[in-house]
Amino acid sequence: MLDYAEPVTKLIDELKRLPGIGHKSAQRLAFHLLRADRAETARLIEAITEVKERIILCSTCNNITDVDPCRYCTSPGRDQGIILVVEEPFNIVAFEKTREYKGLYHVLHGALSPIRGIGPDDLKIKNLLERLRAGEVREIILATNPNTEGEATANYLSKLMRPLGPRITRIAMGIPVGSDLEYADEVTMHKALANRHEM
Amino acid sequence: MPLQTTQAYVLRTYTLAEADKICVFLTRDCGKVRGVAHGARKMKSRFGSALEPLTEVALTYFFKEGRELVSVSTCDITRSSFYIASRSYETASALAYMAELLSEFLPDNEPNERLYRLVMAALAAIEATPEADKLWQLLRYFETWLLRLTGYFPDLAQCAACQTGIEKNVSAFLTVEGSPRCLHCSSGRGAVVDTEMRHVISEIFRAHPHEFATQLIPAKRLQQIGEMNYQIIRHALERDLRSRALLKQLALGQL
Repeated sequence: MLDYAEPVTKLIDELKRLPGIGHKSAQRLAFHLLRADRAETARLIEAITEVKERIILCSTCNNITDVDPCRYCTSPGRDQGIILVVEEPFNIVAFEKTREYKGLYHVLHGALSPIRGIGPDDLKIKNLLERLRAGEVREIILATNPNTEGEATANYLSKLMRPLGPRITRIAMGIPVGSDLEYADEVTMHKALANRHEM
Repeated sequence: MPLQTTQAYVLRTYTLAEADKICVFLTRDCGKVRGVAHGARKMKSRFGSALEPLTEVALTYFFKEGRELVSVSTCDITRSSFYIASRSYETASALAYMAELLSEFLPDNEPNERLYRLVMAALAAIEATPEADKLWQLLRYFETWLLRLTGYFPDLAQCAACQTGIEKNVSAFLTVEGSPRCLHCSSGRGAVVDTEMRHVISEIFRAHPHEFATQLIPAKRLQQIGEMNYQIIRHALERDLRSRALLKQLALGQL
């Protein structure tokens, strides 16, 4: 016998499929939606539908966008000679928050991970090479995550792109601002020392 | 909740909820253990880079009888493999293959001191040997010894069907299940383990990985041993390893 009426069970089952949502959270969300007024649930349904219908990948940089090419690729104020390579679209937001970076982006949609069966063919690498072959790019900044998979991806890309000529750089790794040196581990400290700069 | 402290290698991690990770460890005292590292995905996590694959750590965890997942309390780096993995994509893939092999092949909570020392020795040899071609040689060493220490590597000196000895100067034949046969019992069918392969395998079992890495072994022999080992691995696991396909492409220079 079902614990709840069939539509509620179905909703709980669907919510459970979302990342980070277990049975209890799914149940809580389902009952919240059940109690919410129609207008609220309609807005949610509309938002989900709109995202699925209107959001596409930028044909140049693979960022998620509702216009193609995306606003970063078409912005006249951006330096067309620098491309910052990130793993996921949400990584762009982190760089935009700095208000420092004024170049272009390229989203790989993942990182190389042999243990998860993700190889070069599963990433958006082909159109990055096409952008380089167009000849306007002076520098590529590899901003994949500072972990083993991100490093492997950066290594692979730098080897692949080196013959095409641009300057290839990797974002620095080291101590996070606001933390305490006492708690830094040896790998982080090693990277911080290796990436030190002149003052 | 009892507290356990042991040396361990991090084999792999999976994301859990917003900021946590499920970690698979190969511990020295308790074998393969799975646990939750709370807050491990946060930028200022107390675990830092300690949960990167094949990092050796001083691990402390709490466990409850009957619960599959332990709760990771502290995880301090003893020796990191991050620098080795950062060397090249090939090395990172080789380490991923080793980690996947250990993670999938070993049973939970069964300590194996010799296997733990094998991981230590293999990683030290890979670190000391930057040449790309030697990487594949050391991987063959690692997987052959792993199969032997877990009881899956066949005794090539004896036919499993008729129990007679197979001399060193003749070929042995392996069935699909990885069981050795003499020429008479196999009628020449099955994977051939010729005398040269048998010699390389005996060197693997005789030499320390550092010493084995210095030996000149033809790439074809290593490939044959790799194929033979993988046949046994696949038969034991009843499925393919994810990292294997990429590693094969890399070894053949296709990536």
